[in-house]
Amino acid sequence: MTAALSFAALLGLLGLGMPVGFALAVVGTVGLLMIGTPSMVAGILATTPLSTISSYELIAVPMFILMAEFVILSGVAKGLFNAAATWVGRLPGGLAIATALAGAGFGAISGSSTAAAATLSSTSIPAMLDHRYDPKLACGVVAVSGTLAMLIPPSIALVLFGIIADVDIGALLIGGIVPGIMVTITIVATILVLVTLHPGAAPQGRRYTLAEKVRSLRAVGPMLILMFCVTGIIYTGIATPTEASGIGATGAFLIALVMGGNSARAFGRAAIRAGQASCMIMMIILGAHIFGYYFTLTQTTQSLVAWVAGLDMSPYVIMAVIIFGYLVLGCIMDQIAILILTVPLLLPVIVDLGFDPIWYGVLIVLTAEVGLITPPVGLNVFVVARYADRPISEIFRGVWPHVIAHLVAIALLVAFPDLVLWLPRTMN
Amino acid sequence: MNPLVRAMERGLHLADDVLAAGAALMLLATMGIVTADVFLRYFLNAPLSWSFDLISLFLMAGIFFFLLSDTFRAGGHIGVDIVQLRLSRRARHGCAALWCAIAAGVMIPMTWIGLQKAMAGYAKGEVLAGIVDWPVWIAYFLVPLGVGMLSLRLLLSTAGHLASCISDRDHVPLAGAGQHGGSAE
Repeated sequence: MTAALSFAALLGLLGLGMPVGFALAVVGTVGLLMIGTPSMVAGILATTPLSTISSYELIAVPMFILMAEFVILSGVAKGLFNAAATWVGRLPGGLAIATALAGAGFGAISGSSTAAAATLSSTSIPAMLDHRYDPKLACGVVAVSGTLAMLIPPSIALVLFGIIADVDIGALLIGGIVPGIMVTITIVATILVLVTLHPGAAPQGRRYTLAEKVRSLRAVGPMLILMFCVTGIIYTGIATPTEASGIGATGAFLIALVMGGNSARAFGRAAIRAGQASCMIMMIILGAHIFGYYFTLTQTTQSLVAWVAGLDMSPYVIMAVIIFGYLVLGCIMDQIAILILTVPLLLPVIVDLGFDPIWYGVLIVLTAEVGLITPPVGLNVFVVARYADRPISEIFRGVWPHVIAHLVAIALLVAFPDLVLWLPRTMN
Repeated sequence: MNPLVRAMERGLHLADDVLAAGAALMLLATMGIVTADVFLRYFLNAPLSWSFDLISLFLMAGIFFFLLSDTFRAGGHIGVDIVQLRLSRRARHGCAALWCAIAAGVMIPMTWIGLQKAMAGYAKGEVLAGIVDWPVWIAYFLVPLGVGMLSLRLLLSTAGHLASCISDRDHVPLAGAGQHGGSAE
């Protein structure tokens, strides 16, 4: 009963517009006061802020965000699109396909979906519109391709899931590779279907010589270095994901230093932006910790696990309900907030049902990706609208074929968990 | 705007800028130390034994608490604005005043409790025993510093949004989609 009340209070505060981290801290504190003594609450408030933030594993969050900021400064992402356009631009819908491939490439060197959407918006949308692409198709592809950064390592969302769920972060990041490739193929297949149905939406591009194609690969070099700095190091076990995040940020810093021609002030601004984004995430984690104490003391999670275990239903039906819940939440809430709010509550249920936590982590991050492109919140759509100066409704119309394709990809991952689990099993 | 409120806002703004620059340096230092540690461990078999405590206890805490108020000023703490976008500006100011006051109601006690813990730690000369005996009370002081500055910003925002709600004029900006601004700039 008290748990239901606290959930209602949490929704009420979120409805008022209170930031997620603050709302969790407020409801957790008030809830603890209701069930405990003031001295107990004072003890929790005295230790939790510092103990939550002083986590060595948590440094992967600011480091991966910093890496994304430096990647943007370096201008490598623009080169990625140009290289992809040179190789596949001649195909029907070639520039849209190049956008998807650049999105996957950007995802491999940055863990931020909004950064990916913003970068792709400034490079690929003008190119596609210049080639008389349908703006709906062009903006839709950019919005959906940006989401790949959330799945392909280094993924900030998967790092957060690993921290919250206490699951091997390295295995999670490597587990995102095959689904990331699968979703890239899904986006390309959707583009090909759309172009076949509406050939006028994506006119054929120009032909490039082999010399031009080879020259375009220069941009791929820094990307390969960064990919090895992060994914290669984690996969081979040379360093932990936390260490790999620091090395990745340093790699991106050096590339930005050599290629970008940026001032010290630009690097400083990038560091502050990365710090602010990290601070927002850490505030949510701090709030969730205080809320978590309350949940532990009221034994809410255990009650939920016992209730689900008592249901006479197939685990897959329960999983389908959970995925549907994530899709609905994704429409109204930020993906990081969804992870932090739901994982501590649902992970014990998932494990109790016999599912693998690594598979579950990758699956819900992919599901949360859909929330980035669905109304009314659809953050990537807002980013593309702002950068491309196109109407939001036009972009939402452009992404819906991709939403359907994403749902098919989610169904495949549910049916074949080895698509996620195979690669982590081969790790050192 | 009241001259006292304006002076407080300016002071907080300046403090935020200084702390944000400090946090940026800490972030870059963390990046450098982690990378150096890995290279020294693998190539020279000489890891930086002090890096773990320095990063987790001081640098991470510094990055977070130094930027807590600045991130609020920049509207960086995300929330759900699906209800807010359907309200009038006046009602949104009213909601913002209410939640800022409620949040301050938790952040102020957290500041006070954190300050007491820091003072006690300082009085005892509390250290984290290890290869280096780190003075842990320094990290304790980061909590009341960061949360205290956030509390002040929340109080200023409460007053600003309340004045905006009553007068139906924007004394403080309302946040954009998914953001939460709080400064009286």
